[in-house]
Amino acid sequence: MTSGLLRAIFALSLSALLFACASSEQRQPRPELIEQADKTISSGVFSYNQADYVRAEELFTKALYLYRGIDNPEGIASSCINLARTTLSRGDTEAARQWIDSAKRVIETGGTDRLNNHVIIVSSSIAIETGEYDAAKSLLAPLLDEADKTIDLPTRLAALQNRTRIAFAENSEAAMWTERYAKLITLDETLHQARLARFRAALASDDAGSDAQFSTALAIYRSQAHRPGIAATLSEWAQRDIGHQRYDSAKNKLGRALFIRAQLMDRVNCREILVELQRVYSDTNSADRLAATRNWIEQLDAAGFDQWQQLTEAYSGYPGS
Amino acid sequence: MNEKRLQARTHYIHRLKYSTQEKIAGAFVLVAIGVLAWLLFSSGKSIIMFEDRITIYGQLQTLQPINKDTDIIVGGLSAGTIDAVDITEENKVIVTMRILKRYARLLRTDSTAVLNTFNLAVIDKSIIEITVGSPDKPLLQDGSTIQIAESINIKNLLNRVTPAIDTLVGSITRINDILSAIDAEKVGDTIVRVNELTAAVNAEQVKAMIDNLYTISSDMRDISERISSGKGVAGSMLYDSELEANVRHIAANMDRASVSMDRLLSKLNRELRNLPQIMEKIEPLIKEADETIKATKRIWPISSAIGEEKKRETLTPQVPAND
Repeated sequence: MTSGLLRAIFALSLSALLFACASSEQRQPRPELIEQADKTISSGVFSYNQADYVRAEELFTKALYLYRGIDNPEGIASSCINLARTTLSRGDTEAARQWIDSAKRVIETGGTDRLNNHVIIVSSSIAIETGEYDAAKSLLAPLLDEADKTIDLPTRLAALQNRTRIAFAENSEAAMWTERYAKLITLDETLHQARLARFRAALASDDAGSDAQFSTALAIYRSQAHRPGIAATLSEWAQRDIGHQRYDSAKNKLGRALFIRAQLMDRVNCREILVELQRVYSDTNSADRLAATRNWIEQLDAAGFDQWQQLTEAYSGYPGS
Repeated sequence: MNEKRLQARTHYIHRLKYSTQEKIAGAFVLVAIGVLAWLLFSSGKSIIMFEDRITIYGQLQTLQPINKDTDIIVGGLSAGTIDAVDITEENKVIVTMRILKRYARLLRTDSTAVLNTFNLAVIDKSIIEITVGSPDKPLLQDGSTIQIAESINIKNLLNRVTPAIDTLVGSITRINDILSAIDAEKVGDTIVRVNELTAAVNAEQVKAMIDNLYTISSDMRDISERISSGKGVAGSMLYDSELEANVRHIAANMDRASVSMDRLLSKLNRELRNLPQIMEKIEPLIKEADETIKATKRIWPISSAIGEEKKRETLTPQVPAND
């Protein structure tokens, strides 16, 4: 291509650029510090949604620091709520409680009322985890009021999900709450559909019905790559298998769930899975495996546990070796 | 009423009036475009793009990793680009080089070209380096051909070293052969005989001892003959001139390799030293490009094709955690 031709192309391109129709900047540029804090918290939300709780906690802590630097109450409260959810996801109810208390204080003084519903949902989740069901019920009560049209759908669904969990935990009106929860779920709410299938699996009286519901839940969680959901479904399914003395199937599912929970560095849920495995080994008279599992539980209870790789290798019976 | 109808017939574009704010915004857009154009035309690459060039053909004896990204350096100056790479029926490579006219006078009939290829970790770069010719020699004319030599690179070096390593492995195999050729039974017999000799030294057995010694010496001669004939590593080390040549060849190659590694590292160092300056130059360009991209997004019809920017999520979803 000759240099003359190149010159002509450039001249034409520039003319085209000058005569093109352009609209003016629609948004006012935001201060750099707010942008930076928003980007950080947004990256944290992304990590949280990927179940990367370690990274999410780092980012939310950084965002909190940045928001405190510009004394932004909404940002500070949001960071605290996110930190509460993240620590709760790792099973650390004590840390979650501290973060949600901090969020409450900021909301009370900073006038960021729109975050109140988030605080209620997280607080009720903490109460459920610690077995304080009455406290959880009274927290959720205002959000379960069908007449209150100011409550948005995600909040209503979350409140109903927690209320149904309580019903199952107390073994009281579980079917009624499950159906109330089901009525509210739309086609777009895939994660809630999966959770509903798990509730229905727990309600099912026959094995076939339960297995079908667990399969549905698993298929939805897999399609969304929702790791905590997959692990929870496998654990619940395994519990049912244990109840029906299907020990091989239970071991397989618990092993798969343990692998996911260990990847998420989730000590509390790993411990719960190991306790279930203990039951299996005890019922099947596997003394060696029982002792080894007991040993792993003790290690998980000790401070500073970091042998996640070794833990998964110890129970790597799936897909077969 | 008529006025209204007239207004309705007139295209809306003729009724539009620019506000002061829009005029100022327009002025800024024009200035930004002006700056962009200036940056575009003043940057090194753009200036070079519009310069006149001559064509020089380079010929390589073997296929080499050359493409349009291969730099052409004349006496350390970036002097042109590769226009085409063609392969002849004899599998020779003809490289069409477009050399900037202002550097054409550096190329003389005694100029030589070398292809340097660097394959280090992620760095995979080829450079054609042409030496500056003597001023008293005639100029290389537009369309003339120059031979491109291939410099030693790590791959070539490894290719050369591999046969030498093979020879070494061969030698080790041969020593194994020689060791296995020594008859274990014979050695055992010898030891037995030596034992007999030391256990019972008396006059009657002297003859037998001499016989034994004769057998030992015969075995020793056998081994010595094997060594003399160059069998096994010991023999090869003493008598195999090919092995000696190979070892010398390896040493020479290693020496050359270290020299070219030195040269390569010093080149890399030079490049790295320029990096901060390059970054300084690039940074405003990136900012400018970022602004331009944002502005482009607002230009019709691109704006209609690009959706609204997704709102940043600052809160984790309401779905209860750990369930």
